[in-house]
Amino acid sequence: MNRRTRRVPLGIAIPAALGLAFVVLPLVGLVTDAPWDTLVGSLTNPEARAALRLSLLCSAGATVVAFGLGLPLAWVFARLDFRGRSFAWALVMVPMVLPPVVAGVGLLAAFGRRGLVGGFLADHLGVYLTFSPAGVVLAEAFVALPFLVVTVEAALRAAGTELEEAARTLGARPWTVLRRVTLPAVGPALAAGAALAWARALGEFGATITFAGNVSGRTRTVPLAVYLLLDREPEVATALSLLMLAVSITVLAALRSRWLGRAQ
Amino acid sequence: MRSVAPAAPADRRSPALVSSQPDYCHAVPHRPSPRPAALWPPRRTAVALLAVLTIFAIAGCAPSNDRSRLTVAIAASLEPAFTVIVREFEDAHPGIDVTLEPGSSTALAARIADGAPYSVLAGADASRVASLGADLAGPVTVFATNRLAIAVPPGNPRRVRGLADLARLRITALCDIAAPCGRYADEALTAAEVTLPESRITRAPDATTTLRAVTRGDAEAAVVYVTDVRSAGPAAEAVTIPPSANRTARYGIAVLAGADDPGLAREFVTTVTDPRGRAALTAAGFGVPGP
Repeated sequence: MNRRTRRVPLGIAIPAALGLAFVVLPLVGLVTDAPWDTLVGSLTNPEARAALRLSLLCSAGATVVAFGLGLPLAWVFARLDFRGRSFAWALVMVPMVLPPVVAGVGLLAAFGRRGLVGGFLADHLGVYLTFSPAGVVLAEAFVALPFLVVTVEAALRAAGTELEEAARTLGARPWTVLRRVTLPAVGPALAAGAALAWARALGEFGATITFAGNVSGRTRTVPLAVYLLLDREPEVATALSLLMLAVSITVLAALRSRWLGRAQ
Repeated sequence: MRSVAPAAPADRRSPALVSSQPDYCHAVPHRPSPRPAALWPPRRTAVALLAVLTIFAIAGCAPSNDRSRLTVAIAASLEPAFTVIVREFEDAHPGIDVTLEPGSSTALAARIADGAPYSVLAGADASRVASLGADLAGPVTVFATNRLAIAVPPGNPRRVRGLADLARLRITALCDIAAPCGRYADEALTAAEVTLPESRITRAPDATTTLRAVTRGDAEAAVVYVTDVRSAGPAAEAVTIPPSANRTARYGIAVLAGADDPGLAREFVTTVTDPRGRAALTAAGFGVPGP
């Protein structure tokens, strides 16, 4: 605690205070701008309810997809050493830094009606991903995957291989080691990675509108509804924004102990 | 290589488990390899970063900054015609830089009411422009008209002949009902007695992005302006909507109260409504009201 009593140079204190204000002011703006008296009415408006329902379903689906694909990837990156591993790792991280609209264009080129895989899906299986909730899940999982992979990979590295090895020397089979030793050891990281991936999926906008379009009740998630309703029904848009803010703060609060624990 | 190889009988008891020293770092036989922190060595990364930044600098900083600016907010559908008009205006006014700000007329009007620093607004609905009231610095002039058309992918794969055919498509792109093109499209569908379930409509904020769902995406048709389909070139074909169901958009232009140089803004409006502007609008497919 003696860190706090140390004198802070003004050259640091002032920009630090400005930095805090810079982040906090837009959040305060969202709260003060919100039409509190009509909030309940705005959130129960049919358009808002459809968007909320869709957002919850699709972001949950995207988290499951990111989990199913991201956990094996994280294990591979943490435990295996192979040629081109760092290159593969960088590729998996690309969606984290790629502009989401560009991600949407890429998804169209791959899974669109005339895309690399999408053409086959549409012609032979009759599966259309664009303009469907499945397309939203795909777009959200694409941008959320790296968040799960980095979180879980870091935890797997930190946990080390000693316990796994001990289990192995005691005769446990690889699958048992994974299930009984590795996964329990990184349990909190799995939860944190899933929470981060879910939050990212919930807020996804650019890839969704580019790839899955903006179909009411089918692909119009909360961020898309906020964008569209800003012109039409600003109170509903602000109410939905406020709800997204509350969700973000909740996720952060849930992860707080984990991050503070790491910082000390 | 597996980081934990199946242990051979000889080293089954790994040193970590028998050593009395707590020096796990050296005792563990197969440590996970270090995290792939950087793909390239720092120097190459720096060179690559520099190259990318240089490209941005060359692309972004080319125009000189000592010219005065005129920012014109326009309905997205006006962009091709106004690009021509702006070129002529800049040729006639050396030292003036005109920036076009395309978007949904409704969104632009809302931004202007919020204080966006535009000098001129040219919207797809003259009455919406007029409704800005005190934010205007002059009268609203109706300078162009437009009609709706159905845009379909090249070759018209779903054989769309009219609005009624939209009912059997998987997905149709329409403008949002807040934008003039969306309101006109809904009126046209009502007039043609066609009902589309919302689950088969994807909505975009303005005409250009609505058409993009057909030219770049998977939408099977879009209801946009005739001029939008024309400017898309070979990427889309137009299916005519008969006059009985069609709607006429009346475009209005006005100088805004926030204009830095109202005189220059008025000159721009004059260019749009004089024969040069009318020629560019006609060439793009707009109708122009009589002089």
